[in-house]
This record gives sequence, structure tokens and C-alpha cells, in this order.
Amino acid sequence: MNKLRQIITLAGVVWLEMVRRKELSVLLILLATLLAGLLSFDVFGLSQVTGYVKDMGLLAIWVLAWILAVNTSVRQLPQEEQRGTLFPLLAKPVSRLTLIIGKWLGVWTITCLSLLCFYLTVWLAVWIKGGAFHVATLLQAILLHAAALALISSLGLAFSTRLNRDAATVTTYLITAAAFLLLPRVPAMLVEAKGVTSYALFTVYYLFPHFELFDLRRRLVHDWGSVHGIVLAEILVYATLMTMVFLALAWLGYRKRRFSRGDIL
Amino acid sequence: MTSRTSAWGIVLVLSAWALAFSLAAHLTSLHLEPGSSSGIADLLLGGSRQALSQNLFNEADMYFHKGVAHKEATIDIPGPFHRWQADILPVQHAHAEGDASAEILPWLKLATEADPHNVDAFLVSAFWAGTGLRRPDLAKEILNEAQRLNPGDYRIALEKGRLAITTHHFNDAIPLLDSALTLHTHTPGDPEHAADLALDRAEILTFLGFLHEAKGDRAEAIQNFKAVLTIFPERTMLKERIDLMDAGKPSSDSAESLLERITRKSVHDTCDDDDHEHEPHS
Repeated sequence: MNKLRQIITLAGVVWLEMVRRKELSVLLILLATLLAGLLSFDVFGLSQVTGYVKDMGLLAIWVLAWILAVNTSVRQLPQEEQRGTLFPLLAKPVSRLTLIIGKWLGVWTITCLSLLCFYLTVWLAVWIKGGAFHVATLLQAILLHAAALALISSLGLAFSTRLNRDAATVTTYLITAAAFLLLPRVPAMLVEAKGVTSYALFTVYYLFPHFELFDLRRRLVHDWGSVHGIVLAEILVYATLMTMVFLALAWLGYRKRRFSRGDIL
Repeated sequence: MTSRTSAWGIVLVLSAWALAFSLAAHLTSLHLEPGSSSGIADLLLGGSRQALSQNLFNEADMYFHKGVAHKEATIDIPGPFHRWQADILPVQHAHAEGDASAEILPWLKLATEADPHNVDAFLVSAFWAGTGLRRPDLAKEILNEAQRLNPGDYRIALEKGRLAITTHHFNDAIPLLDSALTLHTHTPGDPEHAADLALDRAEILTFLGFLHEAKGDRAEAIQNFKAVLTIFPERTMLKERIDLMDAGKPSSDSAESLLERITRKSVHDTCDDDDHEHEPHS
């Protein structure tokens, strides 16, 4: 019970920091500006066209949520070290595992809240344009998107335990982008690949997180209806397991790490 | 500093400003080619506009197939990922029809905004407006804009001629197709597109032949059909038609009905013409 309270307190600190930094407001203004531009775009005077607003709005949500999750997760631990606030924190009876889980929970929940605000903004824009989303598919899309953010946050946190903030940021961006763009192409690339290349592609395919599984944009935009409940549950279990793996890696990278004020100052 | 030096300084500053102003005025007046305005897209994207335009054009194709990507050869990798992906991404072949085809137009419009010389994007926009939405007025508007930005491209005049035929404005179609033929003659030969150029020329001449026949101008019709036969001698149907016209006999199919048949195109035909594989239409 005490551990849970500690985790929630640590997550609360992340929330307070996010409120202070006003990042969500900035990203919301960016999204609203983009949507305003899309709404004012004249498509040969046709009023019933909403697909492009949905498509570009959802793409913007993915990009903004990705930026938010990466930037917020990779700065948590290095920031504590840089400010020196890590020492009083670790001097308290707070284990490093608790610290990592608390930080991750804070990052994930705040990005989920941002995600809801983003989806609400896009939904509003589509509604203004006279369109609508299939509600069940939209809820599934948000759920899977939130699962993807859990994974990204844990990955960013894991890198930040051993790399400095800048290196962790770049590495997390690179790996998540490569996984998102490359992995769905692997089955097609394997048709031509031979020898070492095919082994490398197989390794990457099984090792990297499959972010494309969390992306329901096409189903939403083209009204293909919702995903089967069992498939959804399987993907959520996969996301939970992968998040746990990355959090475990973060803990392994952090549990024996030595800090001295001299290194930081 | 003496007052003389200050005066010289002022003269130099004024001269430099006047020179810079003249240069700016001269340089900004150099954009004479339509569609090459120094708009925001030009300023931000430069030469990558063509690539962006092509991407947006491909997105329009994706919308036509209701979000289903073209089929490609893949290896079935063991494990759940491939199966999950197949469950998430729609794979059944489908086409946007009726009002749903309007969803394609924003992407084509964006493609033409990104690159005003992407004539294919204009032509496909006009096709969707005319055939998908059944709005020939909108199709004509799009083609007029395309012609304003690309005055030397024969394909636009050809499409305008085709549109005039489908809307039964046969008298308007003839000058449009004549102008397409003239522009086609001045189109530089490109070995890569030689077959397309020959097909388009034959199409213009065939349209003109039937239009003149419908108008009762047999000599002009025969001349156009003969010109088609010089490009495609195997088109025996035209040969037979010339023989019938020479003999003064009527054909079993009227020129108007044949014009309607050869200009009729459904949205599905565009997919069948395409070079990709797919499942049967849903």
C-alpha cells in the first residue's frame, strides 16, 4: 500500500511539472491551427468532404502524442539527476523500481490525458465539417493508441537510465520511427532478401515493438468498422507485456547505477 | 567625420537601396510561366513539390480503394504479428462510389496545389468530378484551371473534348479536339511515352472522325479515320466504316452511339486499367 502511494506521489510530481511547462497547451494550439487550416481549405466548393480532415487530424495526433511521450519520458530521470533532486529522493525509502514505475505512470497518464484532448479537438473539427466517427472504432483507436504510448514511454524511460537526455531522445525517436515505418514492410522486403539480410530482417521483426498494430487510423477514416474484440484483447496483452519488458530493462539499467554529486555538477 | 563624408555616405546608402529595389522588382517579374508563382508551397518546398504532389496523388488512389493498399508479394512470417496486422488493416478490395468519391478530390486538389504542373492530377480530378460525382460543370471548371496553368498540354484539351462529347455538346467538342490535335503535334517526342502519345493521337482522331460523321461531314470523317489507320493499321472496324461511307451505305451503329460507347467510363474501369493486382470487387 505504501509502495502504491509512493508511485502515485511520483506520478503526481510528473503531472505538476507538465502543468507548469504548459506543453499540452502549446501542442493543442498547434493542432487547432492545423485543423483550422484544413477546415478553411476549399475542395471545389464541396461541403460534405470530411475524410481529409479525419486523416490529417489523426496523423497530427499520432505525431504530437509521439513527441510528447518521447520528450516527457526521456527527461524524467536525467532531470532529477541534473537538478540534484534525485539524492533526497533516493535517501527516502523509495526503491529505484518504485521511482521508475512512478515516473512511467506519471508520463503515461499525462500523455493519455493529452491524447484525449487531441482526439476531442479532432472530433470537434470533423463535427464542424459535418462528419462523424464510428464511435466504437474511435474508442478502440484511443485505447490502442494509449497502449502504444505506454510502450513508447517505457522505452524512453529505459534509454534514459543509461544515456544522457539528448542521446536517449534521439535513440527513442529513431527506434520508434523505424519500428513504425519499417516493421510493416518486412514481410514484403523478405521476398527479395537473402542470407544475412533476411536473418537481420527476421531479428528486427521479432525484436522491435510493433507500433503499427496500435494504429486504427485507416479503419476510422474509411469506416471499416471496429476490430474483433479478441484481436483487440490480444494486442493489449502484447502491449502490456512489452511495456513490462521495457520497464524491467529500465530497472536493470538503473538499480545498480552509482551517482555522485561531482559527476553531476 | 566631415559633412562631405556624411553626404557621400548618404548618397551611397541611397544608391545601394535603389539598386536593391530595382533588382528585386526585376527578379520578381521573372515568374512569367503560369503556376510558378512564388507562393508559400514554392517557398517552403522548392523542387520537392513534385514528390509531394505524387504522394498526394497516390493517397487519392488509396481513397479510391477505401484505404486498401495495392497487393504486393509478402512472406507469411510465423507468429501473431502478421495475423494481427491482417485483422487490423482492411484488405478486401472495394471502390469509393457516388458521394464517397468526393473524398478523393481533396487529395487531388492538394496534389495540384503542391505542383500545378501535375496534369495527371487535374485530369483525374476532372474525371472524378464528372464521372464519380456526376458534376460535369465542376469537371469543366477543373479543366479550365488546368489549361490556364498548363496551356501547352494537349491532354487537357483532349479531356475537355471528351467531356463535351459525354455531355452531348458535339459542336463544342470539335474545336476542342482540333486544338488538342494541334498541341499534340507540337508535343516533343519522348521514346518512353511514344506508345501513350500514339494512343492519344489515335483517340483524338477517332473522336474527330465520329464527330464529323455525326455532323454529316463524311470527307472530313474519312480523313480522320484514315489518319488513325496510319497509326494503327489493324483497326479493321474503321477500315470497314470508311468503305461503307465511300459506298454511301449506312453503318449498323450510328456515330453518336459509338461516341457514347467509347467515351463511357465507370469508376471501376480506372482500376481495371491500372497495373496492380487485386481481389474481385466487393
